[in-house]
Amino acid sequence: MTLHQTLIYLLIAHLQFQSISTSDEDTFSEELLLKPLFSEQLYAHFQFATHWNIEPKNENYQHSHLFPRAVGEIVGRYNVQELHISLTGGLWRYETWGYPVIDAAPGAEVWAWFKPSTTNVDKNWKLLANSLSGLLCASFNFVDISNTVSPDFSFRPRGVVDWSNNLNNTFLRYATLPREIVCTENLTPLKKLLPCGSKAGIASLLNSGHIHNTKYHSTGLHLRHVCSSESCDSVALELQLSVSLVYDYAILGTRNWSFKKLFGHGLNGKCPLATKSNIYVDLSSSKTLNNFELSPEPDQIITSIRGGQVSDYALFNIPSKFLNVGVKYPEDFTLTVNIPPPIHANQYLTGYGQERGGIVTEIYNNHWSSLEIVILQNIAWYVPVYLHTLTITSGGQKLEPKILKYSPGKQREKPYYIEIALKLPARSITTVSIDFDYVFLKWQEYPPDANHGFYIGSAVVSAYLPLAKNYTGLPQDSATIFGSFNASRSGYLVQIRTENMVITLPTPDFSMPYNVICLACTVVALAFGPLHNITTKRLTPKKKNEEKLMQKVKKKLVNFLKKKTKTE
Amino acid sequence: MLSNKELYIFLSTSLVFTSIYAINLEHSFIEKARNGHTNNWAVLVDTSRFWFNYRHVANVLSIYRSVKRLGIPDSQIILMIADDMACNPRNPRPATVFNNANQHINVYGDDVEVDYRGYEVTVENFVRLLTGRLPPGTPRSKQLLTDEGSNVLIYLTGHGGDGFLKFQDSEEITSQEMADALEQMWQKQRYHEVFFMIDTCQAASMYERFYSPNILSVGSSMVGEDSLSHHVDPAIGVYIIDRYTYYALEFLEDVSPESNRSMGEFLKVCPKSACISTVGVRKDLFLRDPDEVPITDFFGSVRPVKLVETVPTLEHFVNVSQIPLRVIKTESKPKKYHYVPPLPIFSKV
Amino acid sequence: MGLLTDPSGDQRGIIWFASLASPLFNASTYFSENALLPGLVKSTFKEDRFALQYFQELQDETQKHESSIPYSWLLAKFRQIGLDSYTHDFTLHSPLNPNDTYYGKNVYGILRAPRASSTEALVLSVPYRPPKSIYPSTLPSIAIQLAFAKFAAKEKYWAKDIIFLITDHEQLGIQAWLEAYHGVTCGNEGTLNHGTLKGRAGAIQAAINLELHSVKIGQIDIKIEGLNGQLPNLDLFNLAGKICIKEGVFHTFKGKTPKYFRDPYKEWLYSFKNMLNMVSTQATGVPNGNHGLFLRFGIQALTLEGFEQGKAGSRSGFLSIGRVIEGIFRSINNLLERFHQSFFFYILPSHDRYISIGLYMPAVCMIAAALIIKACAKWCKMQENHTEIRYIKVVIQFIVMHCIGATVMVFPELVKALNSDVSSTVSYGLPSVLVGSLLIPFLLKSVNHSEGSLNLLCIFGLLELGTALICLSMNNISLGIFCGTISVPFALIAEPTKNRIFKIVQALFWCLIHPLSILFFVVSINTFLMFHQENITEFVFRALDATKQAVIYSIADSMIYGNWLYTVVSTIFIPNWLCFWNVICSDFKRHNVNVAKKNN
Repeated sequence: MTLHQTLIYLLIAHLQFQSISTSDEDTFSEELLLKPLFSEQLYAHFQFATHWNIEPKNENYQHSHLFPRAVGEIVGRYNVQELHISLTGGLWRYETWGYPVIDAAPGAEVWAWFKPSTTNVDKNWKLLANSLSGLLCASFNFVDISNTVSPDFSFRPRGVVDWSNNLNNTFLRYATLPREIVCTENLTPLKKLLPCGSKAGIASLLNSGHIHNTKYHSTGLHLRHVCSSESCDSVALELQLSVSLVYDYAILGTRNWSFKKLFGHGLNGKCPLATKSNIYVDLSSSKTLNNFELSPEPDQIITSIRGGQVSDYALFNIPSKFLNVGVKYPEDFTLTVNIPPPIHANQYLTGYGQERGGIVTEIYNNHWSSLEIVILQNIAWYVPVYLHTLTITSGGQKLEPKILKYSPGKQREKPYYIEIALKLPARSITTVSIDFDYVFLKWQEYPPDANHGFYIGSAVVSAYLPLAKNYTGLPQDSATIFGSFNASRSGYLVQIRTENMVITLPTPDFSMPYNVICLACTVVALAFGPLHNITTKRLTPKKKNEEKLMQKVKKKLVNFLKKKTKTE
Repeated sequence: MLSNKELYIFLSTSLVFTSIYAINLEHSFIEKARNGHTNNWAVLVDTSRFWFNYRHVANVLSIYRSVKRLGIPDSQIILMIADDMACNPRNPRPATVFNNANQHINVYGDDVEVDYRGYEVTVENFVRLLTGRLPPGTPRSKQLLTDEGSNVLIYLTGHGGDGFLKFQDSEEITSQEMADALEQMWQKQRYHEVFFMIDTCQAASMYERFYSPNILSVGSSMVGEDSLSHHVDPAIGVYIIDRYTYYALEFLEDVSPESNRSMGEFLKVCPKSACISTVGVRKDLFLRDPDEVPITDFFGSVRPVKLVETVPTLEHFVNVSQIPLRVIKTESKPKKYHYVPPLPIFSKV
Repeated sequence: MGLLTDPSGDQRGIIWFASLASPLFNASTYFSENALLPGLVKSTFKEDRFALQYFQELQDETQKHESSIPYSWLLAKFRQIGLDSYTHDFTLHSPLNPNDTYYGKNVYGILRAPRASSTEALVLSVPYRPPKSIYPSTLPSIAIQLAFAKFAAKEKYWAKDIIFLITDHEQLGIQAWLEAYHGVTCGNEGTLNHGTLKGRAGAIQAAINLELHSVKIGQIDIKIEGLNGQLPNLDLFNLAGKICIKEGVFHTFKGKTPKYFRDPYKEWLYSFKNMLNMVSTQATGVPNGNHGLFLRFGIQALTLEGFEQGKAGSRSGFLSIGRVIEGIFRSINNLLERFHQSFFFYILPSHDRYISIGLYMPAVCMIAAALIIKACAKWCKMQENHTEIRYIKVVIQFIVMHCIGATVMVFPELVKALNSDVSSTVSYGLPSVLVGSLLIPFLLKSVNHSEGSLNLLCIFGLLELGTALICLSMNNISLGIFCGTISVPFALIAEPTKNRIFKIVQALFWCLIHPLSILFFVVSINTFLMFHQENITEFVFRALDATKQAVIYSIADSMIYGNWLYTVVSTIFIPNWLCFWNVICSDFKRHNVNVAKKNN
């Protein structure tokens, strides 16, 4: 070892001790939930939560310990109270899969609450989106006021606030990019935000080649303020990073999964910086018909009773040695009848041709009593909808909305925003439909793949369920999966995202014939004037002026002189 | 809680590596610094959209992989990809892009950062990036922060024609615009030397109009020639990679950061027998002899490491606890925080 | 004035059109859409064993259901494969008899593309035919459909959902399903109750309809003609052909073996026959397969019909057919944009050559131009002769003719509203209305026509016919060219005349080209081709009966599917025919204009 190295070692060591001594209250937990779904899929949810006990009076977010500094800087610079981002490939199929831990719309979705001290929210929002696009390698820079809404009900703060009961939604911004493709380049920066990166712990399982080989993959970043003490008179920052995957047995080739099959390799110990490193396997599907064998033996079996739902979880504390959790099903596998969750929704387009169309949202209430829901629709400006065509029917009868919020869009400036509070009758199918017109865009507004169509983002159906049936969501006061066990609350929030839709706007043919038509029309237009003149006006020879040039000049001169003399 | 020792080793490993590297390279670094080349950047652009243009993405990722392997950090690589091939649902091998039907090299890898993607890849953004005229609020990862000491590698691939390169099938950059952009870069002292590499049909037409100094250019084909693809992968059902880049990658795979192979060798990659098209080279703007220029001058990286003669004392470092904190004065009454119910109850409204 | 008085544009147009069949004047088909990448992938379908197994099970299953679809079995199979499976109920209130109601049930399964979010879909449909059906069985296609679903479910490269659809009651089932999918009604309200769908998969990009009649396939015929003469994108047709060649499956267009001749005349004749074959199918506007109903919704579709007997000798099994489907679906899966390149308007003289809209439209335009030029010439002549014209009367007459047409159009609807049996009422009522309208010129004797007024009416008729032909050809070239070739020569010689013999000859000719007579001739030729050994009276009665059926069917088609053949004929061709009929048959007084002029 050279002298240089030794010195640098010493130097770094010194710095390390200092930083530890200043902020040792950060905590980090990593968890993995594996849930065999009742259909032919396996749900894997990675939950990483970092808790940063930052001084409430301290607005300097630059010195963190386990908390990623990049995120801290963004929070500080743009005055962000709460930030929620999800990047999702595929669609969560509520009808067959039940509810996920965290709901996410296909594509990219981002919503943020700014602190009430923010002066120019729109500007901060735009800058925030730009920063996020750099941070997560996503196209968030396409988020601007022309696709942003501030919903009244659907997106209330998830963390603690010190505001009075009146929430001012002017500090809220919500936008989606339904077309966004999610890939390794989005996961790479996310993994870099973790204290251990992808080198150790559960995050080392996030092997991009394997986790994209799924039916659904969603990464999320959720930042909020939480209580730092029991009395809740001071707050802490909490960052949840999550990765949700749904494996399909048909694509996997087998029902007997293991870490090696799912992620390419087993787990080599936990992240040394984590206070909690657990793996849970949901055993509820094993209880009914298909009893699978779990290997190795779990460290503990936890029974969770939550909102009328009893479920068993096998818990593995990650050992320092190699771990490869797997299950084996018996040979004779029986197909189970799928029981749809209490509430799920679909969205589709109606009509054909390129004149008029409709957007229909169908909400299924399978619950035995009526349910209150809120539907949020953020419809892009190029899909002009008509409020008077909004009809809500349930079982053939018209349903009156409890509250209807609407703000008309403006071409190229503002999207159409509709938020409807409804009371769904028990065991019913409710249809919400609204008509729109197809419009022409300006020539340069067509994207390079104009004939693919334009996207309409998903509707968000929010409900506060009285029962936690098929529900795996986290309670509001917890950021860990462990915290969701036995967490019976007065209600369970679900925010169902429906399908995206693609509409084909009238698109000019950008190929050769189109150019030829344009050119031909231009030529015709240019030729029309002269031709029209020639054919309609008679050409008559003008009487020739007999005067000679010299005479003309002379005459002009004389006139000029006369004028001069007069004025003088 | 873990022990302090564990943490200490864990966090310091990466830094130590860098310092060893710097010490070993001391002499060559001083030499380089004298030449005026102090840092390396790469702008790698794929201009083609659509699944059937898979090969262009494979091209650009091949170069990305090489420059990254040879030492240019992600923060100094601007990668522009017009479409997502790795996670395209049509790709039977998700999150991978291979240079070869035998799945020889996954050029996409597990650690990739794409700076401009999809619709962001436009002529405007590309020219703005080169000339540094980006709108305020552009994140650092999307900026080309070069200076007069930067060696810049510009690699373009897509569908081209005589004197233009198509961007996403909807717009094009002409060779004159490209030349003017580089001239502006030169005048703004945004580069020291540029290695311009292009793999398109009639590639040579793109660099013909360059007039700024210190540019070495290579194109996959002469004017009037098409650049051809290398082969089809029957499992994916697309052409995998273009010939020129395929052989360029083959060459670069043998290059290590310490290698002393020259640019001259690289310019001879892919003879007509392999490429079918003629590889075009333009050296007249470049002042040095390419045979004397190590390939790492463009594909490798100089780490901006500062050598110190004396051992720094710790007082020179600002103590974390000494940083003045912006403390906002709050009223003496302690605040009460609370959760808001996630949905209002409308029956009570 | 040489050009204006020479109506030979008509002949030129017809010659132009006929000569287009020669390979000298048309072009070979090619792929316009780069994204299709046809046939670049290696086929990996190996599930032919399952197809055979499904086929046997299905045969046993259908024996239990005489006339209904074995939906529970199909649902179970879809579910086993891992698809989201649904049924769809629909009801038809017969358009001809309001008291008749038919029920049907479609079954479909949706394969969700792994990494896509159900924004786009492809359809593989098969019509289910119970053992009692008069059409040849399609059970082998259901077997291969299921086997393909099983194969596709484990693949991860799908970018679009695939809907596997099995329809009941031939075209009714598919129409009901499509209407339900898009939430619209295409025909008359209250006729086809399309019901509701529980599962959807976004915008449908393309559809393949399979009708295989045997386990071993000798040849596959590619059928393209759709409702109202709509055609799928030419790229899709080329794709199907190309994949068939790649997999070694013998394929044909219009059941004709591809032939190549040295003799240009023979070559032309072969192509011309093929072309006429396509024109005759397309002109009716009735789809020749279930694919035809997709086209209205902007979904490119075609039918692959497989016959056991092939002209090629060798036969292909389930393996090859499965790979053909795989190849086609992987290619259309590659598409990012919907079909927009290539041609939507074309005529095929053989399976590998096409005539584009740019080539055939001049022919129609020439035919129509002859009419318009003739009208201009007439107008100029009238201006020269200064004949007396009563504009208002002519316009009123013209409108009355169209009102008669409109009456004919709504007639079935009216009858239905009166709650009586439509088919018998229509079959007697309609001819009587039409025959009655023949008498108009004789009833209007008192109107006191002048030659000028009649000429003006003739001009109106010519202009209307010309415009209608061009518009029609833009949508359905075959119907346009068919009507043009028949009516234009006669329309050009139609002239008010004092000459009795000329008048009678004209009237006779004119009767021959009445839409009903044309229908009768076409149907008789068809009947003759089918039953040519019968004696003449039997034949005439059979032909009459068939004509009646044809009218009834076209009415039903327009009410259920929104086929506009009946509407077009009743609102344009019948009034137009009546205009000319009036011109020909009316008497008029010849004013001595020259005398009047002198007096001035």
